[in-house]
Amino acid sequence: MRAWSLRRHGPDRLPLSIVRRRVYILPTSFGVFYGAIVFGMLLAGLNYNNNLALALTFVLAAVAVVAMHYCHRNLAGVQLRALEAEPVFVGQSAMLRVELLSTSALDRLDLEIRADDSESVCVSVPARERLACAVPVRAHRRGRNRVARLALETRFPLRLFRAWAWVYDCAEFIAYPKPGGSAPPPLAATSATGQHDAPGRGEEDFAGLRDYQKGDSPRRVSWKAFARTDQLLAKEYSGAARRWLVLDLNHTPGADLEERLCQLARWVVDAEGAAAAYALDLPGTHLALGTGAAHERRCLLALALHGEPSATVTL
Amino acid sequence: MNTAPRTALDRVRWTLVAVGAGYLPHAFHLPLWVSGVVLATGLWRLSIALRQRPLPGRIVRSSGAVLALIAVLANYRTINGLEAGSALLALMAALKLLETRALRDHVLLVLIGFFLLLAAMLRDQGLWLLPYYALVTWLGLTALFAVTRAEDVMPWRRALAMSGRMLLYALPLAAVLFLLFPRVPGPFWALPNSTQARSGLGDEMNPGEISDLTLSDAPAFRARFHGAVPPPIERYWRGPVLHDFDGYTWRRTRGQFYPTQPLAFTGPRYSYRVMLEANNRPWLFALDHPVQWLGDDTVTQAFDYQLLLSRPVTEAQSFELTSYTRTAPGGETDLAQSLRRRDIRLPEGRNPRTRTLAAELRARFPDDRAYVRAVLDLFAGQGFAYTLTPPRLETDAIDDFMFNTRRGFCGHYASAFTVLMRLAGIPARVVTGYQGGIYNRLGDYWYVSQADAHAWSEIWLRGAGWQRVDPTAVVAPDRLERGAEDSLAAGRAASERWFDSAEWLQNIRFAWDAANTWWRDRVLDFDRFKQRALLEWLGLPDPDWHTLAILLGLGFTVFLLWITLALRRDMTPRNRDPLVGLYQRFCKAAARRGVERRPDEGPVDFAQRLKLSLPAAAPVVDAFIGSFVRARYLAPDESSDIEEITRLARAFEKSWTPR
Repeated sequence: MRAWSLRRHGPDRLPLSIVRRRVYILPTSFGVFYGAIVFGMLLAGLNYNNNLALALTFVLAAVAVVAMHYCHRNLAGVQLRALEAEPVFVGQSAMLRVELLSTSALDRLDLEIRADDSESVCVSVPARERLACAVPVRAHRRGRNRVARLALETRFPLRLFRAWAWVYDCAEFIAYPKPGGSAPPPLAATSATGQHDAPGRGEEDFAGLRDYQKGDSPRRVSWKAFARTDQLLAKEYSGAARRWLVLDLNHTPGADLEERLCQLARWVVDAEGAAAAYALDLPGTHLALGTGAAHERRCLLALALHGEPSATVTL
Repeated sequence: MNTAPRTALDRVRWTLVAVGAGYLPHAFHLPLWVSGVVLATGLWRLSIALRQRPLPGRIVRSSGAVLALIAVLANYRTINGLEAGSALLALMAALKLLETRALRDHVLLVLIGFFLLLAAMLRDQGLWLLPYYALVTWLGLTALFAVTRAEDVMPWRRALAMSGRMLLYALPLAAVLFLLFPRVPGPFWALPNSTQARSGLGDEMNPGEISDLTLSDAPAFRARFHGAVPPPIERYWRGPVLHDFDGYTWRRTRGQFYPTQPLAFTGPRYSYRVMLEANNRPWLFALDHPVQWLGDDTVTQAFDYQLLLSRPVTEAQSFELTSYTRTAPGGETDLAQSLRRRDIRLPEGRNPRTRTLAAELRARFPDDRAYVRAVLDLFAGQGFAYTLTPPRLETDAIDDFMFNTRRGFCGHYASAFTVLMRLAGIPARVVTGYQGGIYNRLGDYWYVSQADAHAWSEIWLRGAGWQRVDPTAVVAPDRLERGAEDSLAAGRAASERWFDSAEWLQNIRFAWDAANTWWRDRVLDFDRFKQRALLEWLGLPDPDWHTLAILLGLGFTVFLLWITLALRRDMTPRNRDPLVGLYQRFCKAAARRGVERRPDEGPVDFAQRLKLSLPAAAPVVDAFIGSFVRARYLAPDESSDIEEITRLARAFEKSWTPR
């Protein structure tokens, strides 16, 4: 199918216009039922030799033909402008941001966008306007996930026909390894005071304010200070500095690589939740001690792309 | 599907519209309780939707379905047939309304609405209902359109507009299908007869019966002559011939066969088309005497020259006929004995005074013709009067009529005359049918209504064969010339017949009847014969199924091309900005004066050049271009004064007079 589509439409690159030859159309099961009803009406009309009944039958049949053209036209000329998604953990659904554009003076009603194994999202795009919607796409594997096939379809009007167009391989997103495993984190007990604190304690000792950095959690922003000075400042806690850990793939328990990566993801998420500083050591990648959402993201991304052929990621 | 309450309510509303519109024409025919149930369930469903209450449970619904079935069976004794079927369908739709959860339930109900419409069409195909049927089709389609929307609720005006547009696009293809779809002869399965009684001539005649008919304006049939039209006095339309008399009632002979007496004809031949109304009787009314007939149904001629059909006429039907109105002597000289016996038979011991009278007259006039003349003279002289409201007659109806009341109409006279003939040994029978008709010049046909019902006599005269004698003509000669109603005294109770009314009203009636007849003749009666005629008219010799298939394919292809182009044009509509239109007008006016805008020239540059060429028009040009540029480019969001700009454009156009 893919090869055939490639031959027929060429590779799918954005922005992608759903041209007429991309649009396929077939009757829906309701369309078939409607056909049977119209056929029954035809028999009744012919049997009773009733021209009015026949006229009604023919009008309903002709309406179906017109609906077919409406349905096809509803899709032809739609343009796909953007396809991108934020990373998610494996098993979750990434929300693929799809931007649609109606290139003509026609309202595109009831367009449904669906990835192969997910629920569809229904939108209507007004004439000559752009509209973005989020389409769920299931993340199956760690690392780069390609959206193998996206179906853009419509059953407007009357649901007698379903017109659809397939978009192949035109988007990808990253899936972090799913946090898993229950091994305790490798606590490097080297704290500034030489003291061992239970996780969570560090949140309580306020140490001072520092400049806000991109990636800091909104919870840590000092909103009071912001109201006073109009400057974004992040609160620092003394406990955070007291705890730090180094997460090393080579010292992570697990049956295989994937399991160990899952365990690392679990530690990263937990450490971030506990506001601890952490460093990540992977063969070929070293991420220094740090904390905050951006750091977490960086670490998870490194875990996601570990072992991928082209691991160069621009962040 | 996850639907918001608003969407759900919208769906319920449209479903109710579809079912209600489909049901409405049935409301006048089905029993009142059916309408009550449909209305009540509809309102119930609506209130459930408005208040977002749960739907009734399974027990309510299934017991409702059983009750509905029992009620229909109790009412009709069957669930077969149009009436009972429609009632059942309507009730089931009403119950299904209480079960509408998912989209498929709504869609099914909308389709049931279409089926109800179809059933209404099977029942009544009158032209006056056509706008209503068209409206219901539109509403039903809109309901389907609105109900099957996936996302938001569309304003009803927009839904109506969009589905109406689809309907308009569909009409050409529907017309092609209507004209070219192969029509098949006859029904595939037996049609249950309608239980509706229809007025018309029956196969028996009581005194007083025809007078009920004559009060009805309802059409019996229409006839269009191809060429010559017989004079009024010869326009006798033959219906059932009555042979058996029991002293009060005349009856038609059934199931007995007699040899047909051949007839010889003289005078002109008339060919015409009879468009018969449904009357639930297997009879074809033909101008006396028909010699050729052609129609959808098998037509046979009975021994008494009546034309019979193979089944009752349950819907309007047309026939092509040829008739002679005058018989010539030279038919067979003698009547078959069996038929002679039947046509002189009278009940023993009834009407004694008439018997005596006949015996006296016969003694004075032994010659058959002289006797006939004497009886007619009797009617003409002895104070007999023609009236549509005769007094009731006693059991010995003929005696009572001849000697007491002496007031009656065609039925009385034909009956009395026939009895007097039989008493003298002359074979005689009563012929019922219609006489006369009104000419509709708009539709070029004769309109024969039930009011034209008539009865006359036929007697056998040696050497002349069967002869028509109309004793009513002796009593009320006008009856034949001008119809039953007109022949009555002016002082009679106010007539409600329409051809008595003012001329303009009469013209409206003529036009309406002509339109109806056209509708019936051209649209409702369009069948395989007319389809064939249409193809031959198109220049296709000897069209058959292959021709139809090819034409149908051709028509379909042309339609597909057309719709593709039409829909593509819709996607890029012309610029509807009135400002641009005004600017184009302005440029055209300038071009007429020899200053044409160059394609690369903007409005301001063009205005400069224009002012140089036409200094006189400079103020108008400045004013127009100034306000145009302001409205279109500088401040497009502010509401611009279109009227002012229009006025300026017009001023520029007018500031120049062609040399």
